[in-house]
This record gives sequence, structure tokens and C-alpha cells, in this order.
Amino acid sequence: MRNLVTDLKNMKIGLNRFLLSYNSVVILLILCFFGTFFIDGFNNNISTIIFDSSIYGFMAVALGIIMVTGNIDLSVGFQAAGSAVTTVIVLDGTGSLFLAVVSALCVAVLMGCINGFTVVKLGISPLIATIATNYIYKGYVYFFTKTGAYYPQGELRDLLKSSFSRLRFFDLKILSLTIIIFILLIVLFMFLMRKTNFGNAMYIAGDNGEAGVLSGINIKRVSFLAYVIGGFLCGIAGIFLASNSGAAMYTQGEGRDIFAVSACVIGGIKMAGGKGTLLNILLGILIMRVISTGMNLMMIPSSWVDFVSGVLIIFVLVIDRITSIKKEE
Amino acid sequence: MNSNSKETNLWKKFLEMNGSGVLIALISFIILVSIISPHITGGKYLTWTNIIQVFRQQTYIGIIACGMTFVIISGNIDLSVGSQLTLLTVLCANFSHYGNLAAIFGTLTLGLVLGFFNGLFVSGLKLNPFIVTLGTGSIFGALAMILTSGFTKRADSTLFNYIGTGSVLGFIPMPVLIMLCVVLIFAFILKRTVFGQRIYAIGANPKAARYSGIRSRAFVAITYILSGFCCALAAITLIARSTSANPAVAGGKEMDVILSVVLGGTSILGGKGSIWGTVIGFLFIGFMSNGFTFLNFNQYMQWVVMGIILVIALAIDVYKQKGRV
Repeated sequence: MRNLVTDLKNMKIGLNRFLLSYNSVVILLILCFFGTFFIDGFNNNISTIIFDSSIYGFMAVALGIIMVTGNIDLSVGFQAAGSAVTTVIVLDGTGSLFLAVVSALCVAVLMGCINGFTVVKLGISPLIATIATNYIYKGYVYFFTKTGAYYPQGELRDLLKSSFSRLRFFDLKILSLTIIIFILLIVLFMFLMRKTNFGNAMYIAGDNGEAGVLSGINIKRVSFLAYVIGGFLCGIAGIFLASNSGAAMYTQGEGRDIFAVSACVIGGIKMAGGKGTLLNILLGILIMRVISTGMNLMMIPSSWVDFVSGVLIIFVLVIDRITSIKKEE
Repeated sequence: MNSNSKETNLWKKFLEMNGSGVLIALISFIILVSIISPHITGGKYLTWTNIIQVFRQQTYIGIIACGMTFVIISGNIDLSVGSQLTLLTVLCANFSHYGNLAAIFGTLTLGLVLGFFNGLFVSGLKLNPFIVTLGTGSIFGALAMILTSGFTKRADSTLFNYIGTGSVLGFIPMPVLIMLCVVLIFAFILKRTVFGQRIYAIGANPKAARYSGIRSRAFVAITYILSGFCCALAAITLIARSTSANPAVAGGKEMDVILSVVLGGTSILGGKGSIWGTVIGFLFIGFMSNGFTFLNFNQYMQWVVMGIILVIALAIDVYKQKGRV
């Protein structure tokens, strides 16, 4: 994105190259244009889109940070659901919101540690390892929710509902606590990844791990910490998910990993690692949410949303392929 | 003395074989459950009916896992098999109203077509296999939902009933026989044909394979087409067993398939593995979930224990490979 500004300032970029290099910006602009002029009620739903984007965004950003180090985490959805369940049971048991939040974050960080341990210390391939740990987290969530939901009792439910997701400043949805915390965390992690040694090490770990080891960077520790950070972010997502619906549900975890991977890929994160920025993931998340909200408003069945996002993933990959061929030339 | 060293040699060879650790775990698990289960639930675990039941439940996972073994050995992955299976069962149910032959050949052809799409994207356009098959999986799953609008579709056919409930020699059910045939044919192709050997070469070192004149892109595409074909076969056996297509039937089954393959010692990085290992892998998952039901474990306990056992089995596999190098 920063390159975009400098490129535009110097006017050294042709229209073709612009379309290819910044395809996620272009897609988002086209979608928003289409939405504003052709879908009734789209403009009234922009704040909803941003709100949803930030709740689901925590998971996508968690996955993005892990993918930058060259690993992957297919358990983000159930890490978040695990944190949501913890929030609700602890709140139900003790009645203390503070304890609930702290224990939810602890459980989420622990889940991140387990992922980091299996991938980094045990050396199992990240794809397989996180499929396996996903079963554990799924079992944990299922224990409390079964296929339905787990509600805290009476007043506690209202307390949970009014504490996080519905908390707004000046009664504006755009100033919800969720969105503010999401933006603060994005800024924090953008600073972390761009300006600090740790962030630098993350990119090196994904780009060329061996070179990193030779130049004295502790690649294993960096990859491990990426999983821990991922767990923490999923934990925050879980607290907001629980607060948004006032309950912990099994469905809060299902299918979120696909959403997160799609958002990251559309945002230009590479599977091989070492590439991509959080701002681009943000664009990916927004694109996904604009599509599903827009199609919802047009009364199109939700299975078409899956269809379109599948097509979009392949489209983005093809464009990416074309640009890389052009660069080679 | 002499015979003793021979035995240790055999033992060593056995340990080096793909999936031997999982096989030991499987056998000890079966023994353990058959000792414990009469005390807990009073059910007899190790009976012929129960063993056949496990095979029957694992039929479609097993068939798909055979195709997946080829894809993974060539160094790629196919995350769309679950959705392929769903879409093909839905289509098979639709075709079945035009007769048996139409259903079987229509489904198999469309299986090849779905596999061809994956192959086209992965080896034709050289896109990342993980993400592309995630994308095509999302498309196939959505198509199945759109075709059925989310309802279960009935299939009606007499041949299907025979495939689903008939048995050969009175004790081997047809679906299991189909699975055994697929296993034997695929094992033969992988071990005894030039095609199979080239798949190993491509997975082990794609560059070297290309320099030695192997047309790797065509071969990779063929592995995906085979995977699609396996999904079609699995769809037919599944329809035959349940006589209806549910668009939610196979959500997430690709995880079971991939785990079966990897548990059998097939390296996710490619170049190493066997159908024999895959058979152990899917039997392990099948016997485990069946055994948990016998021990009266709840679904959540099954998942937690399964996750932990998987991590341990995979860690042992990694450790074994490190020791060899």
C-alpha cells in the first residue's frame, strides 16, 4: 500500500500494471461502486459490513500473521469458538466478567501454544498438525455446546451482551468497541511487523528460513510466537463473538478457517510465506464481507456466496500468476 | 543365534515400513478395546459383523484416500474431495432417474471432469494446489447446495440396492469388495507401473524429474483426474448405501481422507508413501471411532482423544524420519 502512494506520486505506473498489482483495491472499489448504485440499502449497511469485518477480521489477521512466517493454521475458527465457550462458562460460573475475559484469553493463548508446539517443536507439517489440533479444540467446544448453544443465566447474558459488541461511543455503530479495538490492534501489529526486529524476523522466517538461521535469527522462536499471537487474536475474536450473540455456539467455529484463508489469499498473502501486509488482509476481509452482505441484500441464497468466493480465490491466483510471469520477463 | 539376528532384521524392516507405527498402535488399540469393552458396555468388539461394519463405514473414505495418495505423493494436495463427493452424490441421485447405466457412467464422467478442473488449475496454470483446491472445493460444495436447494434428494434404482446391500460369497459386502478392488489396482499402478514410479520421482524432486524428461505437468494433472474418479466411485457406493443424497453429507471429510493418507506414512512433502500405508491409515481412523462408540465415549471425547492420538502418531513419524537421515 505504501508503494501504491509512492508509485502514484511518481506517476511511473501504467494502467495495466496498476490493475494487476493492486487488484484487491480495484476489486473492492468496483464492488462498492456496484453496491452503492445497484443494491437497495447497501449504504445503510456499510457500518454493519465494517462491524462484521472486524469481528471476523481478528481470525483472518491471526492467520495472516502465521502465514507470513510460512506456516498455516486451519484451527483459527475453533480457537475463537473455544475462547467464546470459555468466556461463557467462566462468566456463568463466577459471575465476574473480568475473570471470564482473562481466562478466555489464557485458553486461547494456550491453544496457540499447543499449535506452536506441534508445528515448531515436534516438526509436524503445519497443515496436518493444525487439522489434528482442530479436533481437540472442536471436542472442547462441543463438550459445552453440543450442536446448539450454551447460554449464561438470565442477567449475566444481558451483561455479556451489553459489555463488548454492543458497546458504542456516541451511539454510532461505526464507533463500536469491536471496531476500535480491531483498528488499534491492526495498527499495533502493523508497527510490529514493519518497524521492529521481530517483524523483520517474521518475514525472513517465511521468505528464507535457512538464511535467517545462518544470520543468527531464532526462526523457531519467531514461528512459535506467531502461533501464540494468532491464538491471542482468536481469543479476542471469541470474546466478541460470545458477546455479540450472548452465547457460545458450535457454529461460531465452523467454516471460519475457510473465510480466513480466503481473506488472506485475496489480500495477497502467499502460501510460501514472507509476503503480504496486514493492510492487504484488511482489504481481503472487506471484499469478502461486501460480497456476502451485498448478496444477502439482493436475496441471493447463501450458497451462491461460497460459489462467488471460490471463483474469486481462483481469479486472484490467476492474476497473481500473470503478474509474476510479467515480472520475470 | 543366526535365526535371532534374522528376526531382528525382519523387525527392523517392519519398523522402517510405511505406517508400521500406526499399525502397532491399531493392533494394540483393538486388543485393548476388546478386553475392556465387555466390562463397560457388555458389547463384543472383535466380531466378524463389527469388523465388516468398520470396513463398510470406511468404504468411501478408503476409495477417496487411494486417489489422494497419488496426489500427495506427487507433492500436491486436494482439499476439494469432500465437496467433490457431495456434488457427485447429488448428481448421481439426479442421474439415477434415467436408469442405472446413466447414473454410473454419468457420475464417473463428471468425476473425471471435476478432477480435470483441479488438474488444469494446479498443473496447467501452476497455481498453489492448497488454495486452488480450497477454492474449487467451495465452488463444488456451493453447486451441490444450489442443485438441491439444501434438501435431501432421493435416488431410486434396483442395481443400487444390490451394490449397497448385496454381498459376494455371502459374507463380503459389495461396497467393501469395490474398495478392495480399488486398493489393489491403485497399489499395482503405484508400485509396478512406469506411471507410478514417475509420480514418486515428481514428488521427490520436481526439477530433477523435469530435467530427466518426465512430463510432470501431465502426470500431476492425471493424479487429480484419478482423485476425481475415486470421488465418483465413492459417491456411487455412498448413494447405493443410503439411497439418497444429502448436500451436507461430506462436509469436512477431506480432513479424514488427508489424515488417513498421512497416518499411513505418506509424506505431505511428496515423494514417499504407499497405498498399503493408506489402508492402515483409514482402518486406524475407522476402528478408532468404532471402538470409541463401543466404549460409550461421547462425540467430544472422541474428537479430543483422536486429536491427541493423531499428534502423537505424527510426531513419532517425524522422529522416525529424522532418525533415518
